[in-house]
Amino acid sequence: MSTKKIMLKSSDGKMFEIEEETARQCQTIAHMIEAECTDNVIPVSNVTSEILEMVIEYCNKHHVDAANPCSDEDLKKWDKEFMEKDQYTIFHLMNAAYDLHIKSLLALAYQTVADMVNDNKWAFE
Amino acid sequence: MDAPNPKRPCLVPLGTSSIENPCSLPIAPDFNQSNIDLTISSFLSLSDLPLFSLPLSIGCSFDRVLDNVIPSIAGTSRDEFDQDRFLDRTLQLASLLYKSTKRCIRKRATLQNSTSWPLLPELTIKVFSMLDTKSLMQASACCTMFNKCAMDRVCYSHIDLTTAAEDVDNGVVCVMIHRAGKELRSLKLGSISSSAEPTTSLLTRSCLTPLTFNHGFTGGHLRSLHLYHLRMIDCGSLSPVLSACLNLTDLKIVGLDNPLEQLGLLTRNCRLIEHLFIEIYGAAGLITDSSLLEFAANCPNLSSISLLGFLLNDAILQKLIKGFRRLKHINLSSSPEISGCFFRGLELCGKDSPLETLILRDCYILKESEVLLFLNSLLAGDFKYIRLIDVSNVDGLVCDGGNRTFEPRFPIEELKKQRSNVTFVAIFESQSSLSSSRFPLEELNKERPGLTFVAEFRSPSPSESDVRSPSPSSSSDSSSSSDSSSSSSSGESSDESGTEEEEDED
Repeated sequence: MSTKKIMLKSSDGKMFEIEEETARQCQTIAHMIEAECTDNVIPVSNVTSEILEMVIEYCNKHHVDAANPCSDEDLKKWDKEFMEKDQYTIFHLMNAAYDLHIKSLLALAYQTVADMVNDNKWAFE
Repeated sequence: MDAPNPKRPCLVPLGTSSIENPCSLPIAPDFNQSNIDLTISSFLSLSDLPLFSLPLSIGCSFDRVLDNVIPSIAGTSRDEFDQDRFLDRTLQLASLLYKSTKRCIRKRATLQNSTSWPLLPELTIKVFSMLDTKSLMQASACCTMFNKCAMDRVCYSHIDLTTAAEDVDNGVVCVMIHRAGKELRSLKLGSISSSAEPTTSLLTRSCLTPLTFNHGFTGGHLRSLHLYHLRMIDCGSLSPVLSACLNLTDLKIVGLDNPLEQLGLLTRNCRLIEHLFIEIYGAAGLITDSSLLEFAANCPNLSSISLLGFLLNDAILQKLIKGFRRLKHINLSSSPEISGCFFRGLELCGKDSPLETLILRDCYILKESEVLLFLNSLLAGDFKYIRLIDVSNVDGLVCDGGNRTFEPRFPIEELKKQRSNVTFVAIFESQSSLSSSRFPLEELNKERPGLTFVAEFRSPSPSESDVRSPSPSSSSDSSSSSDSSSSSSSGESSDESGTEEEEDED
């Protein structure tokens, strides 16, 4: 069964293909799809290709359905590994999640930063 | 530099001069703000000149101008007065320039921070709101931008000052409660450490008074209040504070003075309380029936009650439990007058009882026969929701002859078969130094539900009492932990735990 695909265009012009159902995790994109204001290419103007790739990876993993089953335990473990990045990457991920309205990614980023600060593993430069 | 010369007091307000001379620096009527800005700008643009020593330096120019304006021999007293004013004004101008430069440097640094810091202010505030209070204070001291973000009310919705108890006084708590305002949801104060005595805490009951300000505006939003070892804290002083906290659902007080007679007073206005934890210092007075009835009526939603160190007897306890129909968790550890007769009252609830946790640690006169009766009711299918029972006691249980036993006859094997989801803890140590309270049983129950039964019955033999490491008695084999994932036999696991305790003691 083929699912509808859409294209996301990063701020540096790189194109990414993603399933529409997966992309709907981003409320900003979901609203654009529903408003039918896209020609299958959605510009994500303030997210670089490097960060957008990570966002898509996150959305693909969290789009759980019959074809892609995943337990909560596995997701938590994956999330923890996914957030093992340098602080500026986490910041940019957080900004992207905020702009695209991905609540779960935003909450994950908040918690990661807060935990790192609380555990004195964070450098405020 | 910051203040005018103290030896030359300025007696006349600046800018009010009646004498026309160079010292008084009169302001021309057509001299507007842009002229002033232009003059200062021209002055500051001299920066490419050398600052000191050379004849062309700015420093030498200052000296020459001041020497010309202030003659070496003073004339009339009026001239002298104007010269004083001129010098004061010069110092003031220099001070103003210094302060403006400092402000400019800070603004520039703040601007630089805000451009280099990649997070939007609202995201920074959200992150800060998830920090513990100590980390928030450290972050707010980093820079002006962080300080502004850390001033947001949301950052103070969960105030936890238990990790910095020795550095916190009433003033700090009051400031934080004010900052939180209507966003305040939970407040934890004092030193959690059990060794902390009430006299060592800097905090007193008055740190809670901001909760009552403005008709309890701040306190009215509070959901959780935990107080550890605050000084001068009793029911009388807490009552007005709690009367402002109408939406409180979780109340924990460690180190309360003699609260029993006033339990009703304490909870009079907190009708939404679900979790109540009170641990007291000294011996509490006996609770009266009227106070008990009031307490039960005040807290219809109570689902978890922990009363540690209370002089509760079985009759009172029976009434207490009957009064609270929704109780899921009961912890009555260190109650010296509980024998266990109240279990019979519990049995009336039978299968429908919502009870999940029952902890009776170190209840000195707890009887083996009463615990056995309760376990038999479990085997009969009562208390279908129960998950954890703890009757551990450093002094063992009271048996029929009035003696004490470290090897009670409990139907462990049957319980394992019929109620495998229940964790039954019965650790009996002969030495109080090896207190069973070390084991985080409730956490274990949550995190490792596979650990179904822990019941180590230990009695000291004469040879063991010297080395302070009691080994399991013969009955422990049948009643030790039955963790399916463990490859070692129950006897071995008991030995290991004994060894660990011995090392701890060393």
